[in-house]
Amino acid sequence: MAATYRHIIYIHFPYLAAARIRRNTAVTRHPMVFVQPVNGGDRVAACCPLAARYGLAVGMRLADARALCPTLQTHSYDAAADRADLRHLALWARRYSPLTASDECANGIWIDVAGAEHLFGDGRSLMADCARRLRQAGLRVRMAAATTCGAAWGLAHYARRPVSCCSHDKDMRQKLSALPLAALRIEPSVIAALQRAGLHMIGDIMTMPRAPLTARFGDHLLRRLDQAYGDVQESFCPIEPVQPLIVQRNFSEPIAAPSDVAAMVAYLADEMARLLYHSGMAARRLELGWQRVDSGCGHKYIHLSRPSRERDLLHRLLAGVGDGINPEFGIETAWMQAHECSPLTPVTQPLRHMAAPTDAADAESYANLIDRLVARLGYGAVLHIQPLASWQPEAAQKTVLPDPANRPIKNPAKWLGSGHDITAPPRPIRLLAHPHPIDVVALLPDHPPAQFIWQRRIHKIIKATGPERIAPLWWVAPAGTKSRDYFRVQDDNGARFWLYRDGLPERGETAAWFLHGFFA
Amino acid sequence: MLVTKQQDIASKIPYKNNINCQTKNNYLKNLKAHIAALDGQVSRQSMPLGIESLDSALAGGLALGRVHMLCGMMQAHAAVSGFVSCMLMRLLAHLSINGKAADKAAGPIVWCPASGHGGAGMLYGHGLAALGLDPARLLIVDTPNPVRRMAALDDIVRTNGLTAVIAEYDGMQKSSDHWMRLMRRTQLAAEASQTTVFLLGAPIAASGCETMWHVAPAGLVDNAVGDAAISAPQSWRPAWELTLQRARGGYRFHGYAGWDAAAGQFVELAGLVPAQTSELPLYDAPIHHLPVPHLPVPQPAASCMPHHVATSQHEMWA
Repeated sequence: MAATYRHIIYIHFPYLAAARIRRNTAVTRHPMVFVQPVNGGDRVAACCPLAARYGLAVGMRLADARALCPTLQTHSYDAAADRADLRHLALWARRYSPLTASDECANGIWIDVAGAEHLFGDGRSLMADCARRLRQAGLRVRMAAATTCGAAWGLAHYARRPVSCCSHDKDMRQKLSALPLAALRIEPSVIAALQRAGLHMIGDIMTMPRAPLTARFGDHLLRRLDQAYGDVQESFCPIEPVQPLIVQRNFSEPIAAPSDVAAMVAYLADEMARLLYHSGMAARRLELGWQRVDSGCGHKYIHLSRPSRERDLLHRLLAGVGDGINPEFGIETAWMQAHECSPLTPVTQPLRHMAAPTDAADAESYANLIDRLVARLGYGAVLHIQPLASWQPEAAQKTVLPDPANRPIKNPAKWLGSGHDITAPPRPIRLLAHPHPIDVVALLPDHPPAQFIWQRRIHKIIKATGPERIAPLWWVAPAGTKSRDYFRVQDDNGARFWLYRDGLPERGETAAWFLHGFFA
Repeated sequence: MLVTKQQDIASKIPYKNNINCQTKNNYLKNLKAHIAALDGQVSRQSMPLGIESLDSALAGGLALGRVHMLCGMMQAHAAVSGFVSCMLMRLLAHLSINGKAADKAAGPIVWCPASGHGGAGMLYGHGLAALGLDPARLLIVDTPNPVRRMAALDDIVRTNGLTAVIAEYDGMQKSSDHWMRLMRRTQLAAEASQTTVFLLGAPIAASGCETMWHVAPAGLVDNAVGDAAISAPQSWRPAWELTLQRARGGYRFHGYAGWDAAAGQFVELAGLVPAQTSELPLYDAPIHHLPVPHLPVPQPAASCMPHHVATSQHEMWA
């Protein structure tokens, strides 16, 4: 017998993955299964209620499932999403009791409601409330209440009725005896061996002498049996919710003056720095939120290039934020929450760019500079450039955000002409995002230009190299995109330009001229 | 305090009664050095550019940790960007040689380009790499608004560990008073962090910077060597017409300079004459160039793709 009174509810979600798909996408009337490769073959890892009606079951081969149901839709099984959903459900279930846990192996959650039933009337009404809410959220549930974890688990999975409740100990023993052996949470090989011996129900092995069973199957089987009947204590490890790091300030009178708003921001930054310090955490993103007297809310995000909790840094980053807040009729509540928190680690290798300074103090101040610039000028304003393997000039360079998690690229593209490669085609040092159309005079249609007009000025060309022919990416470019002939030219003032002719005259295409870049 | 300084100066003045030329020069030199020390310029580090006449005009070389203005038509050509890129390469080489002595290794370079409007264009890594500057060193601050860009400049320059900061101020309409204050603030920040600052843009009436340059592309052709040399790759190496309009402690300078990418240094361009615009264009590519083979009509077949990419799509007829 259990030493203390316990009241455990187990909720099993047989179609959790299907419910997630239904929630996120349009409803289809086709049965669907979730497949997972096991031992070189696709097997059904989860299915939907409709598929279950066709006779599909977890563990079946996909080919067999298709044979049973030709209109089957298949999705790949996402175990991580299931785990995350179960964790969310366990957190949600804390509305009934502070002791909840997710059972990731069997798609279910445990709730220990001992001593909390009276808040909802009694145990039955608590279960009814829980089932109603979960069904409203679109989840199919099977649940059971018992005095032990094992019994609740077995009843939820294998009882005939979706909701079963054991009123007293004798009732529980009766119900357990009628369950199949799988309800004991034992290995399939042990079940198969017991079934070969003609033992199918839990009641069958209850009456057996214990010593031969232990000798034949080890002590695991009997321990599970004792756990289910409450002869051996079993507990679960309750989930611990992550406390959000949040500081809040309520005002007795709504504030609207810019100086007050700035003081509010500074106060929140102070408090946040203190909170982060005491919790030993550092944040990568801060959310500043406020509520006005007319219940309108607003929020702003402040990004940091690496986790930080420095008071001065927060103050500097938040310095201009107050100006961007429109208090309208006044702000009555403001809060600041830290996101993407991590335990603070000292800066050893803050930025792995080549650009980053080698000195640790300099690297720190460089990282701080990036933070301040991002906070001040916007998230896309601070960039690094990286080469891309493309012969299209405009696609051969990409801009990336400076990020501490900038992992080294596997096969980095090279800059053309790096290392004084004189065979590399010439490339300008500044490239126009949108080539400017120019008027060109050339001796013959396929000749380099003799002069061109750009910005209402005539540029007489004294020197030209080319053409360098660059064809479009024909497998992605829209039909009708022409090849370009690029020329490097120098005008009589000495300015060097990169021009191109869009279209090849010798193919009979109409040609247009553009200015694309400037050479040093 | 003032009295002690005067006494200090007086102690350095040689005996006045028999002034000859040598002692007079010494006297002036001491006085100049003393004024410079009072001006906070005693720890002035400079980097010789490699052209003798230019270096003497700069009083020994380009002062590091100061603000330099490079003016030019930013939106009409890339001569200013090219010149400052070469200056950066020179600076990186200088720091890597003298890095240990100066206790300062080469750090990142922050470039705030005015790429948004007008037509200066975005910095293009392939071209910079071909010039010799590693684009991985650059941190680009891309803000279309010049006023916000220049407002952030002070914050950037104050950061320790940067090699250089380049800011383009094109499009900012401000009074000379505003410029003066900006320049002074930036100068102080640059001295504090020992970061060299280059301001690029159209010529403006600003003062307070260490040096002020006017950079234009050199419209020169090499008449001495003849047409054959024009087709050599050297003929495309960058060349500028430099006017040093103001240099603290130096004097005005006008001349032509080029960049030798292989050696990584500036070269003086002598023996070149301004181009005659009336003469016929000189093409280094033959005008009757090879007949361009008809490219095969692309078929979207997977098997021919690598061949296509390798040969016919990207060819250069230079």
